[in-house]
Amino acid sequence: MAPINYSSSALDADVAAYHASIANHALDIAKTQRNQIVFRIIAQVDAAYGAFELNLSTRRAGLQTGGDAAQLGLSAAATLVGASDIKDILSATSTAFQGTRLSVDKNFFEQKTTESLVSQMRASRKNLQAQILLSLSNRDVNSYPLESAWGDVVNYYYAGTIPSALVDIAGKAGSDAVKADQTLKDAVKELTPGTPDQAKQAVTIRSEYEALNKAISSGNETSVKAARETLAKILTNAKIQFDPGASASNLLEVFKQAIIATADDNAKLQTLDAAVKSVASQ
Amino acid sequence: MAGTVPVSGDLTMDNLAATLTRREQSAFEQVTALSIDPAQTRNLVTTVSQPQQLGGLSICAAGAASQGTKILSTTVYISGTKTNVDLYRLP
Repeated sequence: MAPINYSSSALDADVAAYHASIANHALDIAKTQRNQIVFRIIAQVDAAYGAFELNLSTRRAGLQTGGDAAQLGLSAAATLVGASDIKDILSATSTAFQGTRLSVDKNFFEQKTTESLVSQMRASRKNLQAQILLSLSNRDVNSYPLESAWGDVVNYYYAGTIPSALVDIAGKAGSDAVKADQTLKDAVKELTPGTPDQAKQAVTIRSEYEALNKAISSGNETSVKAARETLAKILTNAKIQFDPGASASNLLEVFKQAIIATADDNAKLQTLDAAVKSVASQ
Repeated sequence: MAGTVPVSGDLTMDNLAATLTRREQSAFEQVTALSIDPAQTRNLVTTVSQPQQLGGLSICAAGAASQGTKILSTTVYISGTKTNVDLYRLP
């Protein structure tokens, strides 16, 4: 049982009094009544949440399987703490709302630590509570009637549940991912500027690769052997390590990786170009 | 490696073409798009993997005569200035 009890019958009586004040155009009294109702519900929700948070931390730590943890975590707070009229009313207020929350993937829950979930619930509750208190303080019953406040209180209640925390974390993760993606995009290194001479070197190297590839692909034993010898010379002259017993195809792959390495490295481009030209001149 | 990567907006037409050519030849890729970066004074080039060797690239002012086959017309930063250019594939 929550330490602060606000029964449904007491709530009904308060709401009836609020509506009577509205009917009598006693708007200031109605505002006071509205605020009292909301404050009492918030106190009830806070009491339930405190018990829920403690329950979550202790029970989840003791659970042996992820399935058990998911079963616990995806239950609304109302199912974990003692029965309460107000919580029952809040739970029943918006079934559709709850359904949305429950659509969260159980695996996502299992990936989150209890600390991260509690932290998110506390943050969400704090934000919503600040909004509610501000509205109660600044707005009359015309612009912020009890019905509107009730909707905010329901949101406040659900902010203290695991499904809500998971949705908020997922949303935040999505937002962070967009920012991270933008940061990554900004951080992507620009292409290494090239000169016409370097472009010619790249074409020369690549042309040699194509010729060697064609010779090896032909399957002609003499051509393959000659290509292998050429590749070995190029790699040796470029001081690129390779297995002396490797096949022609394997050496061609080593050559290809060496070519790719020249894309962003002027020194490697220069070295490989010199190695290719030295073999071609022999 | 294929994808969209930035390219300096301070290059001359010849050096931008050389940069793209070097990329294609060395990285086994093919340029498919070239545009300005809306957020910065630089260009963005999009490439895809291409196993076959391609001819070099040439860039000239839009409408100017050039050898090769015109691949695309676009606006890029040349020496820091937005310029309408044509991109050609040399034989």
